[in-house]
Amino acid sequence: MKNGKFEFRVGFVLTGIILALAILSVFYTPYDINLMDKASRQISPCLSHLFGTDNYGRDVFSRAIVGTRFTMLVALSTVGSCTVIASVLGLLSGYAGGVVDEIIMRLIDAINSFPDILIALIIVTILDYGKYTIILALCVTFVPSFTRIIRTATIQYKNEVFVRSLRVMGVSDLRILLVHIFPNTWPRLLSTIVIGLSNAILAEAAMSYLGLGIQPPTPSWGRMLQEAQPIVYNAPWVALCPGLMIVVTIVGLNCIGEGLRKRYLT
Amino acid sequence: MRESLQTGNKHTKTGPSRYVPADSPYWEADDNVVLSAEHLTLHVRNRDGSASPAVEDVSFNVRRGEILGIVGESGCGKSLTVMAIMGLLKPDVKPTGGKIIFDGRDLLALTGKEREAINGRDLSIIYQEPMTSLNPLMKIGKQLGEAVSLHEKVSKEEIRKRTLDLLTEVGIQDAEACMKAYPHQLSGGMRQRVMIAMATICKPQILLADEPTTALDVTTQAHVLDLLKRINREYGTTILFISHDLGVINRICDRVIVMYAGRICEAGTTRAILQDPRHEYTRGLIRSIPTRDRKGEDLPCIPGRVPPVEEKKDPCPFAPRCGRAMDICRTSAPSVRGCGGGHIVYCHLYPVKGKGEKKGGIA
Amino acid sequence: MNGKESGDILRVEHVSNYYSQGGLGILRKQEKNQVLQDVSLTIGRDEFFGLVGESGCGKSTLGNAILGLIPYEGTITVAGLDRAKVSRKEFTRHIQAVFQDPLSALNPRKTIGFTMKEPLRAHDIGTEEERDQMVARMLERVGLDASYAARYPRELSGGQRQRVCIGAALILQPELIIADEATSALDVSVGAQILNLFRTIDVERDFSMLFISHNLNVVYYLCDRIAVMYKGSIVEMGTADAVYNDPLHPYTRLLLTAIPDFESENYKDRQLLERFRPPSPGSCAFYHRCPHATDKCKKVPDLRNKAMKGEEEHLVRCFYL
Repeated sequence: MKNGKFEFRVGFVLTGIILALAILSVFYTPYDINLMDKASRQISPCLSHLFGTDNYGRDVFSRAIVGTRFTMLVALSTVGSCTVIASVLGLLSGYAGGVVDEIIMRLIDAINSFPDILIALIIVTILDYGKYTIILALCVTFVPSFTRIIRTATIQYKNEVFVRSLRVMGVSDLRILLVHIFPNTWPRLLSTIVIGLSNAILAEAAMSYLGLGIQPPTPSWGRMLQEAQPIVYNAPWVALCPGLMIVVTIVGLNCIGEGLRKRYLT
Repeated sequence: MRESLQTGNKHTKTGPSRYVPADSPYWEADDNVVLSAEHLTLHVRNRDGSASPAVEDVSFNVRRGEILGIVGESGCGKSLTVMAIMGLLKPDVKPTGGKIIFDGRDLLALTGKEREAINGRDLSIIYQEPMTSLNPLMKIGKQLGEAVSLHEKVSKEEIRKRTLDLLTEVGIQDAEACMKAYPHQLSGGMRQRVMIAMATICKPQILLADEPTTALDVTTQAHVLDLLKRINREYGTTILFISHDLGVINRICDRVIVMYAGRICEAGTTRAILQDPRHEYTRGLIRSIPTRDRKGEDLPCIPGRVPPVEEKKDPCPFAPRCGRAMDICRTSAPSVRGCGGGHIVYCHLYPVKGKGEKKGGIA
Repeated sequence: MNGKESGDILRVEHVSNYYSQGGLGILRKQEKNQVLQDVSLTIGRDEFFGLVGESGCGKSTLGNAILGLIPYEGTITVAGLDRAKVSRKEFTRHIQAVFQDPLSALNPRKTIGFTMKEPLRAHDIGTEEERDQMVARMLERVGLDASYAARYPRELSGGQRQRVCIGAALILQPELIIADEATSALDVSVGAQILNLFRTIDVERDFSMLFISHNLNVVYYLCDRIAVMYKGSIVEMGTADAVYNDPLHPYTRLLLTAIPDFESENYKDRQLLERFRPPSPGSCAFYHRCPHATDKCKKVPDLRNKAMKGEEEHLVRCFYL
């Protein structure tokens, strides 16, 4: 328990299930996700439709596992690009200090001072709907926290004796920064990435739910929840499957994040 | 004090075994003993879940009114021993054997409530870094005052007077100003004095001092050592003093225990240990310190390194670094041997006296 | 000042250093505290020079200034190069350092070999293979063996790590090494091994060393000359024997009586030669603790040579000598 083994195990099993389903959906889905069948509208969960069907007679389970792909794509590309941008900004800001640090941090503060959803709204309004817009919007809202974490770690290592001794050895600043300081920030960065993934999934779901995300008929978890909302009293199972997928993924990722934190940061 | 160390001739028990209970011939039980450790063994949990002995089979008596030093290098278990006495062991350190007897009770078996009644009142501790034990956001006067009012119900004015007295007693010249200061505004020496004042509010029977002067400059260190000696003399407070510095030990201690890798190597009066060390480790330690007449020559230092706690050690943990190690050192742990005058050594090089032999023979 | 022969490897001339402290952000009031006050010293080739003083006296600050890690006023030249005028790369060929805490002096995520090769890479010395060989040879010289190159710092004990640090400092064959409390964090028996290592390596190859320590015994043991620092200025400087066995400044004497001594028995009751009085601004730095101070000491004394004829220079900053 001490090394976070338990958390890792739970986390990997839960996210593993979701990932397996996502991969499965590429090759096989129980039903065509866009097949609308008037005869089978709002069927409650049964053996042929594991999680029932929606208002148009589409199989909820099939749509949910296909939706995983989109949600994952958005989350991964958001966190990925965010990590790259934040690494550059954070390392620069932390190591250079002074005016550079001041400028970068004030920019970050500026972004932080707007509510995230407002920023997303503005970006979507300007750029029109689409997955790249979502990714961009999420990225802008995520960069500040990532940058701060890398900057803090950089400052911490900048003051370590080994960095001082590398300077005395004559090693260039760039090399100290990239070869010696950056890898030391990875443990912290890794747990931030994992938690960031779960936040991105939630944020994507929220945006899709508000109608800012992906447009129909492509399924995504948030989108499906939105579609389930009007009929939630007649057919609550329509919301169940995507909701469950979100919960499982978030719990899984958070477990991994906690495991990482316990292993490397304590 | 020294006279009381001379062992009597009441030895009737069987010859020394591997274990040295407090009632062994070399550690004569007398009325003067305030605290005794008997076969104390502590295990530390390693990262992989296994446990390694960090303190093994440590037995000693602390006599009323003495300053007893425990000296050793990092990882020798000296601090853990003190923490075990105070009941402040971290959760990954577990007492796995032995007893610590104080006031007729085993300190290792106390409940939380009983422990609270003893700590601070009968036993008190000061640490190497006083900053960690002081609240950085509270003025010295208030912190000390709170400590005073914890133990006695007195008026505000009385508390203030007591606090001032306490600070003056530990040699702080401008006590008024000190009371108004925050911990970070004081120098290291002043902070340590404040800690000593706080630790001695209740005039504890035993004051445990865990490297209290290591972080201080040599001149300040000398003053703090003098202060501790004064407290010992004036209030009769027994002091258990932990240090890695033989010089500091020489300045303050009546008796010394030398520890290495969790075990006692030798113990005796300060004079005996420093002038006539018997254990090869103590000898090596003393030889390796640069002094006035060693300039220009190589220091005859002990080869090798202090074994980490988790490493499996020989029965005599010093055997791998010892120049005079014998086969037996790697197969059986040395029992205690007396050298007279209360000087004992755990080493196979010295003869174990037979059953029923008088102490005089050993001395 | 010492005779300025061209053979001096380090020359520190009138170096002062300030640090500012104060409140938060833009409301910060610039309060300048002087750490180093007009420090001058020279270290000759192949000389071991000891710098002693209490914590906060500025001895480490001087070391960092010489290494170019902090700003200063004055001139510092190493092997004829002015730190302010040459690049870090050029400067570091001549000067290397060993720091106090071997625990944090090595990058925890890099192997010993990688860290030890860093200075060679930085100065484009040798091919990768040659570097490996140089590291292996250096590891042996500092009392380890080539297999250590593949290990990580966490697998080594404090003494072994300090050996690695010394090896990394020596690998460029610098002319000057700054050792800042290099043995202070180590256990007594391990510290002795490191002191011996410094001595044997010095025999094998010539270099000068500025050995900074709070421990006068260690400095005396290792060094040829000693300077004693108090509150940012040098109060006494001379050969190790002169300073240690015939101390002149009251502060040096105080230090010597305060050193914990395990050999003499009367040490237990030794009294410190110290008298406290309220500090007076602009006075001799030691005024408030000096047992001999008079009104004359309310000015700052100069560093003056007190050596007898035929003896080596022995500088003291005191009016009454």
